[in-house]
Amino acid sequence: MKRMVLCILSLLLLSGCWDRLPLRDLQMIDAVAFDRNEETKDIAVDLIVTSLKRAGMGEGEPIAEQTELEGKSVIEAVGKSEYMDQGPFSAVNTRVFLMSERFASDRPVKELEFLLHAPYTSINTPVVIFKGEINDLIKYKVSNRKAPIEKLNTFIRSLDANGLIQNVSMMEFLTSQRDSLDDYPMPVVNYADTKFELESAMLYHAGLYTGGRLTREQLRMLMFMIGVDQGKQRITGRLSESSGVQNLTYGFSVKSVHNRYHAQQDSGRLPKMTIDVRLNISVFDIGENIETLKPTYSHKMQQLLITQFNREANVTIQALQKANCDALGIGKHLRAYHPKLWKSLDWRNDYPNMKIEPRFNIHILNTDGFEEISMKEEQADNYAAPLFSARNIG
Amino acid sequence: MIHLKQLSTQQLICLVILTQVGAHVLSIPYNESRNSGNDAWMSILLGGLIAQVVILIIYWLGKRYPSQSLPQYVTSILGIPLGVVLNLLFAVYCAESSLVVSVTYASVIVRWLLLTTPWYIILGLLIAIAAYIASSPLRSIATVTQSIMFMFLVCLAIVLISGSGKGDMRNILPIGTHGIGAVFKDALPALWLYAGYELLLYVFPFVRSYKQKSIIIAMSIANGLTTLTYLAITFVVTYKFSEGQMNYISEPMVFILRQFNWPVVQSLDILFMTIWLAVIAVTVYVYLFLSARYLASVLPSGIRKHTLLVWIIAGICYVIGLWGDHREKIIRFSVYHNFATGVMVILVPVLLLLISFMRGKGGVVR
Repeated sequence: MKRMVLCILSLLLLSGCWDRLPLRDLQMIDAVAFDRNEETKDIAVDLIVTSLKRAGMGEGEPIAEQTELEGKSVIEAVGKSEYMDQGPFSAVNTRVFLMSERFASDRPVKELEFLLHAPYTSINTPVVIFKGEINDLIKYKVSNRKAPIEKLNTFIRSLDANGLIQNVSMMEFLTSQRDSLDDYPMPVVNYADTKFELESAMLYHAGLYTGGRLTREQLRMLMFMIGVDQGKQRITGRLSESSGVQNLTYGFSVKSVHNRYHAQQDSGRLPKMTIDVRLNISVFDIGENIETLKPTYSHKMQQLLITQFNREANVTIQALQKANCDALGIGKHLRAYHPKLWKSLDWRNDYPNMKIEPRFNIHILNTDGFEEISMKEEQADNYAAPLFSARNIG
Repeated sequence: MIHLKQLSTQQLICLVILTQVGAHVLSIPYNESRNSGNDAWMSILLGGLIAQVVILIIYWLGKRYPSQSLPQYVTSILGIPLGVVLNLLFAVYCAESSLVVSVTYASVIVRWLLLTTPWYIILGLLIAIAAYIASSPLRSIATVTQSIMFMFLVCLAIVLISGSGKGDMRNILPIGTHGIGAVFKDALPALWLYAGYELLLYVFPFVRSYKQKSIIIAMSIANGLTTLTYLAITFVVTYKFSEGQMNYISEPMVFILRQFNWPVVQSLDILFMTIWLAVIAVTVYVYLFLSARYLASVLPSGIRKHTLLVWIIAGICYVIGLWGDHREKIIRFSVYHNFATGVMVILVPVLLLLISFMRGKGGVVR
């Protein structure tokens, strides 16, 4: 027993004093930003280090400092930190990687690839495209003495938590170049007037920028189609005029999203893809008093929403196909579930020409159920009546 | 006494599992997916099944000489000169296995954890701890191993937790597109993963059991659990990485652990590698122990002191290991090691059983 305890305790010796990192000397990088000079093509790497001042009093005051490094490549720029008095820096706790649009458009993965094999580097950190000046991120607001960089971390986390976009971690970004079917949108975050905002998303294919973008609304449609839980998001909008209803706004929260892909081989060589999306929603604004939301009215509204969402989803799919970015993962679906069909395709050339049809099925959950029987009758009437049936063909 | 006849079947299970699993858990299924791609799990499963067949062969061999271990009965099968040579070869093979495992894991520690700690310190401490345990009697070794089993389970839980979350089940599909030939080809590197069951060649007579059958049941349970562990790791890796990505990441588990984001523990990879060190130590000390026992059987009775032999072998391993700080050397050496494993762990027991059958020698049933 003594021996056993001794042996297990002696394993602790392997903690190694050579690798000791005294906390006081650590320069923990909070955020790293990459930019490319348009003329010289040189890379600028900004390291933002947040440290606590006067921390001995029980609560500290966070101070963010910026160090700019320049070089012909990212690795050359980072190497210069060794010669600076602010270093050595530690990226073990980095909370966000920021790329300028210039940097993100020009083979960013090739520049950052080394991070994958760099020890003590936080590769599970999200990567976002930042539109703005890095200097602004460390400027303090007089009112709360909090650097914007702290708000940025919370903001980026909330984007993912609320299903606005799926964050791409540094590792996912770097390994995506090895998978020809790894396509995704990367969030573009804007900072203006001390506020952060999700502006759009740049579309990537296997780690390369495709040249295409999605607007925020298109991004929302994409998240619905890939079945992302929308979290606490409140979705609001206005029915388009083509629906025949004037000035009708809607607002709802999504209770559950279910998606299903179907491949159908018609007479042509290319298959037709159908994306079924079932949304269970709870409305808080749909043009009528929610307290007395009757099934008949609710059903009509469901149909109008379906028509509108199908239309918006079609526009999103067209944007994706135009950019040759399969962020919907249709290629992965075909490869996994229809291997024979997959072999007959030349995916990158065929994808933009494929017919992809979204089919939304929206259910309002908070309907007043007293009209249950009449609703069924009404439904039957509606399917027969040309008013809605004509409009509902998506 | 170095080995009292008091190894329970539970202890045998722990010993076999922890000797089988080693430094390669971090690289599964890289080598096993070179041809079979996302069907690597089939190769892993096939490797486990082949290992089970070899276990059966070793069991039949042991059953014919139930009161003797391999170093003793090998001379009755092959004669004294050949028996001594084979015992010597087994001693060298076990010492070499111990060296390969310790050098491979020391390399992982130097690359990912302790970047500036000198190689000779990491390797020295690992081998010294293993040698200290290996110098104990078999029963003490089994007791220590049982305690380390808990750490193994913690590591397994970490693997499963890190495997949850973002991934794509479609990476595993479609099943069987690479063909049966590719699966068989990759079953060979998968088979090397299971080495460790040859422990039974030595410990067979020291297992306390009412029926001989319980030995094979214990061995099958151990091999089955190791197969399940490897399968779990393979599924986690395939869930996280597509086939194209797997081709470029030789230590996928390291990246999955680094990628995992959990507010409670910042760097799960560091935690895992530190705990896994104890599991690695089991493989190292079991092989050191076996090497010393095989060596003792060929030495004159005056210089058979187990503790001394263990420390001498450990010292030799350490000195040779000092040249192993270059990863390329380790990878090149592991090719020879795999070949040696094929010969010593699979071919030799099969031949011994065949010769034993031909000579018609059998033991008395206990």
